[in-house]
Amino acid sequence: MKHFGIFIWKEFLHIWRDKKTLLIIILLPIIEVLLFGFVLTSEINNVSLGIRDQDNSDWSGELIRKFANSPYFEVVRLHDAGEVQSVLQSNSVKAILEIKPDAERRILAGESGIIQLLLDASDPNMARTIEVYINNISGSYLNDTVNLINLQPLMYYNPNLKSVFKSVPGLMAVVLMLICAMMTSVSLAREKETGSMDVLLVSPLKTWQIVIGKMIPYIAISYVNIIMIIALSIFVFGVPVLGSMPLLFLFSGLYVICALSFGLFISTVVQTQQIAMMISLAGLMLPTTLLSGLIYPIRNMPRWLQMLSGIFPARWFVEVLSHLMLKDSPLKYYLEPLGYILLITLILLLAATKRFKLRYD
Amino acid sequence: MRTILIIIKKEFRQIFRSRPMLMVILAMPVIQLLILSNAADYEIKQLRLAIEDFDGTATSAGLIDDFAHNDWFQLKIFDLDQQFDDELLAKNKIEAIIAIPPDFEKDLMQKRPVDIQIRLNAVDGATAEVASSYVAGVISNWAGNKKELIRSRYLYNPELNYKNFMVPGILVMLVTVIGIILTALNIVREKETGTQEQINVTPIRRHEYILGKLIPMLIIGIVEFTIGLAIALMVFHVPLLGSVLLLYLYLFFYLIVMCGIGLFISTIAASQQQAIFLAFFIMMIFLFLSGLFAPIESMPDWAKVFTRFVPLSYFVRVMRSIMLKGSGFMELQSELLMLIIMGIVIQTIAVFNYRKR
Repeated sequence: MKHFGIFIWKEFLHIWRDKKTLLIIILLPIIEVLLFGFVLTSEINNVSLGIRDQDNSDWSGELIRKFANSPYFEVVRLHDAGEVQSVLQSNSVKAILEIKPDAERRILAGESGIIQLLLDASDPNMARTIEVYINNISGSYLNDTVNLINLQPLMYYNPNLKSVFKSVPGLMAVVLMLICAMMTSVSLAREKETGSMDVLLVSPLKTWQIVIGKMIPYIAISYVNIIMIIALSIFVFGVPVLGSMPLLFLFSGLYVICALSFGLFISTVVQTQQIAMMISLAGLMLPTTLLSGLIYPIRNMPRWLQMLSGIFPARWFVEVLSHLMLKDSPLKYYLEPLGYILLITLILLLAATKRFKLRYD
Repeated sequence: MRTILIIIKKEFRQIFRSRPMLMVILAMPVIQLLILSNAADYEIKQLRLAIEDFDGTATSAGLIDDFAHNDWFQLKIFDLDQQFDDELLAKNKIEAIIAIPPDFEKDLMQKRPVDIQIRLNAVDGATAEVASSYVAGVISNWAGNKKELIRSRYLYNPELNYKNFMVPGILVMLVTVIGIILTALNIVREKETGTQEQINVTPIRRHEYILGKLIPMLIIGIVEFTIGLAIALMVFHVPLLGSVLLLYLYLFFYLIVMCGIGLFISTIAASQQQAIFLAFFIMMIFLFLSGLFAPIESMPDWAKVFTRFVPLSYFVRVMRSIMLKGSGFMELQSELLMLIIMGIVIQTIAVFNYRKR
């Protein structure tokens, strides 16, 4: 046990000595969350909307004013048909609304296609969102006659529809995952590459002690990251923590261990730092980001991809975070995602320890 | 010239000697492209819905029927226990709850206003808003408002194929990731293992050494891009309406910027570990500020300013415009200019920073 303590101390010293790396590891997650928290939004603001009004009546003027007054759109007036194609192609507008002459009378007469919306669908998500917003704005104008039915949407968990409620927990999961995986995978691969691993292996330390000992300093560093990110999310982004704070820290710790095990596992299958880094960064960055639910909802993915996303712990941690931060759910609501994180951790740790033995005993 | 060729040869031999490295450079991006291109889909399909019918008349049943026959929705639960439904909402088992009030039919018959409550899981605010407007659409249709006021046409991607949007984006991101990491690590490694000093005592000159390092990276980037493009066209059937040549012209200048960034990282990092964290930082910025997944139009103004300094944002726009819109050189001049300026600036800084000691 004394050896074990010394080994952990040695690891701490190792990290402490390379101050530049330590500084990067501590600052990087904070800067990224700060930088991207407000940026990752799927709502639209100030989108340039071209309007070609051939009607030029009071009626169409009124309609256009509706769009101009909305925070979602910035109206660009277009005058001739030739402009329509070129402004879309040069990306200067995302959608164009064309109003035919004598629109009001023809609409009342039941003609269809009098107002046409041309959408740049090269980004289909954006196109659909713009379409919904435009229909909402114009609909409320053309339609406010006999509407007895009054809809009352109640937005649960995020009443002001702030996008940071989704992006900040998501970023926390993704950034922690990548940082942790990179830290451990590189640290072990370096020992292999420089040969100091052999020294470790002939020491009286047991395999599990080496594995755990490698992790403990990084768990400590990760806690610094977690505390900073949660502080940012509360004080800068206004994302509340409605659930229990101790549980939040406890489960974040579990997630960090899971991510570190990922790195550990990678380092047991590769020989050089370079490959370890390539896998932990180039191999994990896009899948973790895309399959965590941070950007695209997992529920919309094809079933096989949904299953595949289950092997990336970030997906489950995002779910746990939303329960703990936004919903204040009882523990039993999110036992399932927690269980998956635990399961992945155990499998990775077992595999990593096993591979260690295979190779060196 | 001959020296450069020899260095290039040495680089290739070094890279291809390691089989795992080859796998990482060639197979990993291909696999990711094939899998991740399926991930993008914002469209709300089969929104899981609970309806609480406190009215229980033929009228409310008619409205429920409209929801049951709509592809956007999937009727999950149908009971009156509000607490139970809220619990399902919290557990992410359903996305929305609609409550039809008592006396719904009676009030409508007597032309009195009625309130229909929709409870939505709004953790993802934008999706909740779209969902709420879909519900509104079904209800207003049901109420007899069937007139189509605005007819929409989707240009450049009439079937709203999400893969057409995703594949070019993921492709450029993969080329970027490999390009930056490979260049950065490659040179730092020589520093760390000491081979840099051996090279320094040879008569190889600085520009020869740097060119010898960069050209292999350019070639690898172009090869990767070509493989990815072939997959995009043949597996995913993404259209390529514009000119291939133009695409490669932009790719060339883009790769020069990428290699410049890699070189720059390697000049300020002391170890591979530092290099990889710096590369990670830069690539996260690329990932989120390039308009790859999060549209630039929606970003706050300060972030839009940032995106102008992200080379990937130009290349993403170029890729999508050339492939899906058939845009030509005339529409994309400023993008080329920006890429060339960035290439010159970053390469100059990197070479200046790189000292042959």
